[in-house]
Amino acid sequence: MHDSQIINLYFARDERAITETDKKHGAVCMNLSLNILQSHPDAEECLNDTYLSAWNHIPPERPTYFRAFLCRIIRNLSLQRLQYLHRQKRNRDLEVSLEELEGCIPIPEEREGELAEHLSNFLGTQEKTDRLLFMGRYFHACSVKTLAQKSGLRENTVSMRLHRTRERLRAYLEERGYTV
Amino acid sequence: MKGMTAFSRIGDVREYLIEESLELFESKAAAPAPKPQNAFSRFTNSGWFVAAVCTLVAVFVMGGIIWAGFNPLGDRPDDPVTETQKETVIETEPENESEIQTTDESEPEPEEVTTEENKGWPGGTFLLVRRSPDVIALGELNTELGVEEVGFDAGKMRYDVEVFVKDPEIVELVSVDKYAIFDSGMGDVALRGLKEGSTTLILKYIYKPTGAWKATIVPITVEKPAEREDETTEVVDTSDVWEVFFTETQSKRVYTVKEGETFDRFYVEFRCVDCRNLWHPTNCSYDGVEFRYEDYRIDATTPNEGVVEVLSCDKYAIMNTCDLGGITVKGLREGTTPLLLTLTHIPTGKTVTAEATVVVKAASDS
Repeated sequence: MHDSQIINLYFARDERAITETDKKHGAVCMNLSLNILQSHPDAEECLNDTYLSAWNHIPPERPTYFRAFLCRIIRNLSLQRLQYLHRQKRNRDLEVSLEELEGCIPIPEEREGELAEHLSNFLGTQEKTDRLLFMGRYFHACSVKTLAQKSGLRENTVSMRLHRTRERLRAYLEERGYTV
Repeated sequence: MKGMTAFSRIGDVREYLIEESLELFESKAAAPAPKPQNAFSRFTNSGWFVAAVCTLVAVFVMGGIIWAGFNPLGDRPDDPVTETQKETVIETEPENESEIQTTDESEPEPEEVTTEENKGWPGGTFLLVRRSPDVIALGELNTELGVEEVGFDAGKMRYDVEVFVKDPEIVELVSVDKYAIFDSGMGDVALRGLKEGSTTLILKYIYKPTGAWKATIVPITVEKPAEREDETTEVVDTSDVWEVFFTETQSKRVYTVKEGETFDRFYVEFRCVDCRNLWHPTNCSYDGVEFRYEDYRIDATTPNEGVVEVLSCDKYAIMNTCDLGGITVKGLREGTTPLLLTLTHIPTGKTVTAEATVVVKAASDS
């Protein structure tokens, strides 16, 4: 079923919307949540919460990129859950991913929206492969190994490309007045 | 959790970028097409070629050095030791503080240590080390140990933390959690106070790939807690600060459950009565009054137990997700019943109640 048809089901308050969403995008969402949480039951719970959140937001929202819309919700829910679980469980691979970002993205609360714009603009200027690797690592929380498999590059190459992208991002943000 | 905040920010990028990134999971579109290789490029890309080049370079360098009259393989006691060499010497495990040398000559003053309230005596109580002003950051360690940060894996797993106690009869080392040390810098070296006195704690940070290390010396004082008079605990009345709702949208307060099925999708909101902001674990104080889970209890009940049975009410789930998943009911037979949610402020006993309507339909109605 096409995404627009699924969204129409949401608008019609037809519960098949959830089933169809699950059928079409469940695996991607589950994968994203699993990358972050490393726990099947927790990821499943986030997935269910994502469907409920989609049900509550559509209507009135009509997302242009439905899959990205779902990914963003499940990512936020998974991060919230991770913060809650942080003391009990540690996800080493994700921790490395977080550490890498510390050095290149500033945390100024007052310019939050602007920062998102800068991030988007910066990514728009990057080569497609670098952009996909960056998003794969820091949006989808994939390990370097997984990225290497998915992209057909060697692990070292992936690491190096990520490292260089981070360096460029840091320079890009510093040029715009951010202190990293 | 700076990294976590930065990681969250990536979630705010435009949706088309997210959509595009999903290509990674669909195909290998992102992979650059492998370039056709001829016999020469296959050779130059092979490990043999790299090994051959390295060997040649090594031979030339060694030849040059020997020609200049210096034998790098000889151990001459009067050889000058450079700063860099000092830094990468691997020490054997030290037995006491006097044998510990930091690799940093400008060692900072010993950091102040405070211990958690010592309620028991002697022993039995863990003293949690809190170092001020801050823990040694990885970046700082990298710099001090001359470690070049290379790519993704120059992280904390490349470091080890060893802890030594000079006088084990005064304080006993219980556990060390190196990841927690790098995460928060506190509460992660657990000690047990054994008797009054002062001793020294040595934290040694070792960069595993090279063995370079840096040590920090922390003085520890174990004191017998002063006798206390009976303290009266002041109860802060926060009962009027928070309210709980089955959402503010009237339509959402009616939930349909099928007969014989369990249902846990109750949309619950937990709000500040003053500013109406939704409560959230990261925003957990109001006017300086810290929100504490343990001060509250949430109960879900129904006056008509023949229609619906309340299986569970998990207050932590309600408060953590701010909306759902904490209450589970089972539809017993067709009918309509109120579902009452009561928030109790345990110290004062004050309560706030919210109500939703549960409609149970026959399973065949689907």
